Amino acid sequence: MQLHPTFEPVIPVVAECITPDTFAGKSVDQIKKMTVYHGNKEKPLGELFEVSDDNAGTITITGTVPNVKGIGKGMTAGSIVIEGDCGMHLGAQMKGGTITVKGTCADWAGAEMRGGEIFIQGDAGNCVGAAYRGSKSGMNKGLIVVKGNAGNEVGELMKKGIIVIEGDTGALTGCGMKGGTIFCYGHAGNRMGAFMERGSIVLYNELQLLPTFTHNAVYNPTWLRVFLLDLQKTTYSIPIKKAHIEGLYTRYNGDISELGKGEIFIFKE
Amino acid sequence: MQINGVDIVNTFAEAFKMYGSRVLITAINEEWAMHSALTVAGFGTSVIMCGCEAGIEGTTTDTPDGRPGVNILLFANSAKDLGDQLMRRIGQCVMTSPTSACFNNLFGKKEFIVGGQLRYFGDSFQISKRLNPTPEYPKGRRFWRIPVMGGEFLCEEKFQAKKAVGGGNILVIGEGIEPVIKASENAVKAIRKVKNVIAPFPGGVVRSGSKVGSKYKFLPASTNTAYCPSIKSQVETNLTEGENSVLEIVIDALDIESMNKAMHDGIHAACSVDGVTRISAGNYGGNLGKFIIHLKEVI
Repeated sequence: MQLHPTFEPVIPVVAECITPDTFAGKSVDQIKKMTVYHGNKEKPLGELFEVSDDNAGTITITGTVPNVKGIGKGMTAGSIVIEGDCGMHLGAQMKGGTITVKGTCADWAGAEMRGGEIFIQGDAGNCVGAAYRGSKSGMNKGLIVVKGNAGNEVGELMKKGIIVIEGDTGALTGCGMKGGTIFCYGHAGNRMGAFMERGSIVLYNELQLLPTFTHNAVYNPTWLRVFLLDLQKTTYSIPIKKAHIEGLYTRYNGDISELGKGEIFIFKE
Repeated sequence: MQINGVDIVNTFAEAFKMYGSRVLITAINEEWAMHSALTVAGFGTSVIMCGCEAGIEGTTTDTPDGRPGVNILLFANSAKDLGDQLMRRIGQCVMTSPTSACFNNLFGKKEFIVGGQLRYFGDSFQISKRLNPTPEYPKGRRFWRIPVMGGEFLCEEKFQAKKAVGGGNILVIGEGIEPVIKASENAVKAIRKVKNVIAPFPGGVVRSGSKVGSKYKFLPASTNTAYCPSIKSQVETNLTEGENSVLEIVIDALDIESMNKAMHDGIHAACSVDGVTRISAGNYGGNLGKFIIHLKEVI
């Protein structure tokens, strides 16, 4: 199914109906009648998008939709491809399937996701895989790969799953983490892992850690080899080098102002 | 029927339903993986006294952590027994072995929690890590990292088992111990090239085959007198005048196809040595085992 945006990207659009689950078994006419919110006005999807059936089994948005929120929210299967930029809450609370964004993505991508994969070719905003305010946990299973940079609070309150940021990250990455794994290949922002209880953050650049993280040892963690080799099998071309798999990492544990069972690994050589 | 002038007796091997698991041990190099694997497979010749039958299936470089690995097959009469043995052997022989990690390497319907029990050795400092779901592992593959003096022991949470075939066998009969042991060595070499198969006895060969029952009330099994050459004239023997030695090769396999192939390859390899007179097989009249493997059919 192809959707081509026909509106000026000025007023935000909430289009949580754009998921493979809601499109499944529906005709083009039925899809055009689905409800979206254009600002505070309820409109049919067909008024904002040209809808056509390409018999591809994938929802493709052939344009840039930087102010369309909630695409793929709660989806359980299937795939969505966005050929330009996309708005906030992409794939939030999704349970399965894959989303590919060829441009950049606004805040809350994969927030509280429970499964599936999100691949963002450009930059991502704040709170990737994070928990919504008031929630107990953020991302809980699934994979998010961001080829560009990401904003603040990546993986905040994350419980399970894997986030890979190939560029730089903002402040408070992994804050309050309860589990899961975050890989940062670029430069990481300050206060990394603040208040984290459990979970692992792997860094490939030096970073001044919070004083509530304590040095443990330098070694080659076997679990990291397993994870990196598994990530290498994905189609996302994550820049994993042989040295990353076989090399040494310095392990710090923290945040000791909390449970202290979280860990930050910094690649050494 | 003959192969290279060696008679293939018109009889059958009687094999039993067992449960089998494949455990993959990796380490910093193949030598250390093998140290651990040999220890796991040690004292694993017969379920009668060892709890399970275990053997090394082969080495591999296709491992989850990219390090050299050794595959071990373990077989037991029940899934419960197998789970118990996996716990004991991985706990005592893999966790203790420097640099080792331990992975499930078989998909089956039975599942045992191993890493999930061994984790308590970590005294609350153990850490769980889970990979993302795959079709093979719908809930995601879960590992436990247990801090140990050498670094960290990584062990898969659950190991799996499937129904398997145990107790397939061939008897190599010959003029003396030299040709029989040479033929047995050739047979074991051929059998070990077959995937999904082990020969659990020392060097793959057993010299003390048994029969059901004994003259002693307390003993359920005793030496296979019909094949003991040194008492030929004192018992109802299955040996002829010129036959002075018999060795048995016991085979366990994850499926009947692998068992048949192993027996085929083993018999042909054993028939390549002068001085071997006959190839036979052990059975209990077909009354005990689920699988009847006729020698003439497998060759």
